Amino acid sequence: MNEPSHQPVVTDAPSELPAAAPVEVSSAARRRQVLRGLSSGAALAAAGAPLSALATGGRKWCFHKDTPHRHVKASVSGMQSTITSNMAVGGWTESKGKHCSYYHAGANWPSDSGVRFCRGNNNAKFLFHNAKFKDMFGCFGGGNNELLIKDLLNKRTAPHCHWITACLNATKLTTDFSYSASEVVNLFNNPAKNLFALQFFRDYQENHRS
Amino acid sequence: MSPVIQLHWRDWGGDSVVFEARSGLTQQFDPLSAAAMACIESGVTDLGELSQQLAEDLGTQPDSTLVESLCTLLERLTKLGWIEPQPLQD
Repeated sequence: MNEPSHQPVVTDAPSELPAAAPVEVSSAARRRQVLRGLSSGAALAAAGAPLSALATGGRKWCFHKDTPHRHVKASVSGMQSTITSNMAVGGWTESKGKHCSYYHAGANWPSDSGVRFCRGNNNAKFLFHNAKFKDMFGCFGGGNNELLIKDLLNKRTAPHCHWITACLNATKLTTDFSYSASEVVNLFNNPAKNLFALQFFRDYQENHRS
Repeated sequence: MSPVIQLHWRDWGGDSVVFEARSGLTQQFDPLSAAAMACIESGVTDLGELSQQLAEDLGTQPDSTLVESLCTLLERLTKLGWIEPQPLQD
């Protein structure tokens, strides 16, 4: 096997590794030592819970609309990283984002007791009939940001329609989609990630039309 | 243990978190599972030896509850692709 590294690294994507971190001399020895300090009952009780995945986003794959044969990580930072067959062992699933045209039909929107909505800023619900882009994305008004999300979507006003579609996908597909609605909004409002995120949602997460 | 995985550990008190570089997957391990992984990383490949070493760490004898917990853990690690069953020797 490869020699495991015990340098402390905790992240969901290699590109986001911290630049510097304290080095653990021997994590393996330390883990054995921790166990020695526990009672058998306490150790077994804690072991009953499933292993906790801390970065679920890294376990989804998707593909660029022009290269459907090449599976990549379904995240803004991972969209250039091809998924290998070895990695598929870990139970990767496809993040099957719908195309923006899918949501032109109001019937395809998520609904609760017949009320159609989309989640947005802080994962709050925004209603189909009266939600404005600036409210759903918690951003300044002016220009297209003042318009209703349903109108922006139906007129395919870019880039707004792709951001709205990402939120609709997050609302409709929940954990089967690469990001939650609040995460989509956070990416929209992050100047350092906005353009990469738009590319990801537009080119990698609108591949399914039905 | 799978030859392709690359584990990076970080430990805080009783909590251990491991990042697997190939999959981009991060997992939190309880103390028993983390210690079991330490044994596996050191070359333990047999359930009997694994349960014996961990029971010694706990100051007890391997019993059915411990072995059952380890079987569940090994099953999860297999599903993650971190360990692979070894073929039986003649």
